[in-house]
Amino acid sequence: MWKKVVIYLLLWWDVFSLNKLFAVTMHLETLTSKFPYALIGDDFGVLSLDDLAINSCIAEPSAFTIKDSPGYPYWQCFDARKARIFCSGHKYSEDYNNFSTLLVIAAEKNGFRHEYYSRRAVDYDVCKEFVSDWENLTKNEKYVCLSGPYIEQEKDKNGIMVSYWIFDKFKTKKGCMPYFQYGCSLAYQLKSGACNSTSKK
Amino acid sequence: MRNNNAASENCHDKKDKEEVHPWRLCPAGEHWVCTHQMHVPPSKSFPEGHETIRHGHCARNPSGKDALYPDEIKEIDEQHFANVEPKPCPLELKFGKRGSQYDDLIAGWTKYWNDIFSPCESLDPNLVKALIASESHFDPNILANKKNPKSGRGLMQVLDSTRMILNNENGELKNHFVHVTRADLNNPSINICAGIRWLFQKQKLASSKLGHEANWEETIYEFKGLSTVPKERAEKLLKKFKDLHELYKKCGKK
Repeated sequence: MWKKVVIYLLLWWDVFSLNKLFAVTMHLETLTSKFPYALIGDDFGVLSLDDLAINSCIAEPSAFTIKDSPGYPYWQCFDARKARIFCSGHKYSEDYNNFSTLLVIAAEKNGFRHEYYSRRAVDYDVCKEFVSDWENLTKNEKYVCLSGPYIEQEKDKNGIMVSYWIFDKFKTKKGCMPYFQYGCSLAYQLKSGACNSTSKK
Repeated sequence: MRNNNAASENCHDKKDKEEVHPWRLCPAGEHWVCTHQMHVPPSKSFPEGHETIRHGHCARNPSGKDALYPDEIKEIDEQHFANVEPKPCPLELKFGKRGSQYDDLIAGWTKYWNDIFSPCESLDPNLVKALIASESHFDPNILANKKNPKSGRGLMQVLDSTRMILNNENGELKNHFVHVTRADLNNPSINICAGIRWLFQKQKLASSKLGHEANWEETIYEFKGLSTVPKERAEKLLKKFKDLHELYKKCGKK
């Protein structure tokens, strides 16, 4: 009798796991079939079709290449334990009547390092707010996804390949935080007409 | 007004120009106000006041110096920019239609401020276009930080602190003010006008810091606040801007 119960439980677990694997595979396939260029690697279930659609409104999608990627932001997802945010530099700026800094998010994946930078120096207090938002959104989360246009890649002094990006937004299953206001909102992009501008006819 | 398309031999011999740019609608020390409805206060004939039309006219600038206001910015743009040369490269560079939508405004305001300031090296409209691409990806309504309404706004990400300096006739600027509100900065023409004016001020500040006339790359470095961040990282951000500028300069040629 007990043997039968155990066998049924094991079978149920197998089916459950298969279903979960199937759902995850279908999710990724759905994303990549509708937006084939938007995501580099797996999203680990963090992203939605809207997230990928937003980036298609910012610039025309194109396959990622290290040679020519002027403005299209790509999504990449990382182990949250291997990603961190910090404010690089701390000098007084007359522009902000405050200290200014560079917002940096550094993440590692498959032996490569990636660094995302704010597109200009930001008010130091603003950077600290982003740090706080990061801590809230990544707490107890396994994965964090980063979006931004590519700059370049080169080996650092230790021989590790580092890719550099412009920071556009980050997202976990808890929520999304953009550099620009409404950067996580597809509704804003649609309302502003940006999506019509970049869509091919 | 001098033609400043090429570097001038006497560009260091600059004086603050008192003459009015030929595109301006009013004499020196005045600015254009367009036709608008106006409320007239109560009088014997109209005890409750009344509405009237105030026709377009020139109004005196408080300091007597040169100042641009939104009405005149829009008039200058509408009357003169369609045929201004040189235009920036029309490449959209994957930014869609917005990637070439503001080319006339970029050309016009670049020429205007080049005419006013006569720099040793004229500002290149392709540089302005690359700056806009890197700052805002051509979104005129964008605000840098949702939690801070004073952060960078519009095509050239003009800060509120910058806007206040451009408005302040008793402050850092000695002449050629640009009087705009925060909301005005979402207008592409006004934003580019104010942004380029600020770029020239940043060139002056960069030159003072460096001890020589700053070139435009050094000015962009200052404009983006990169002198306040670690140099290695700053160079990466500047590279992004430089790549865009190169693409526009080449304009599709190999």
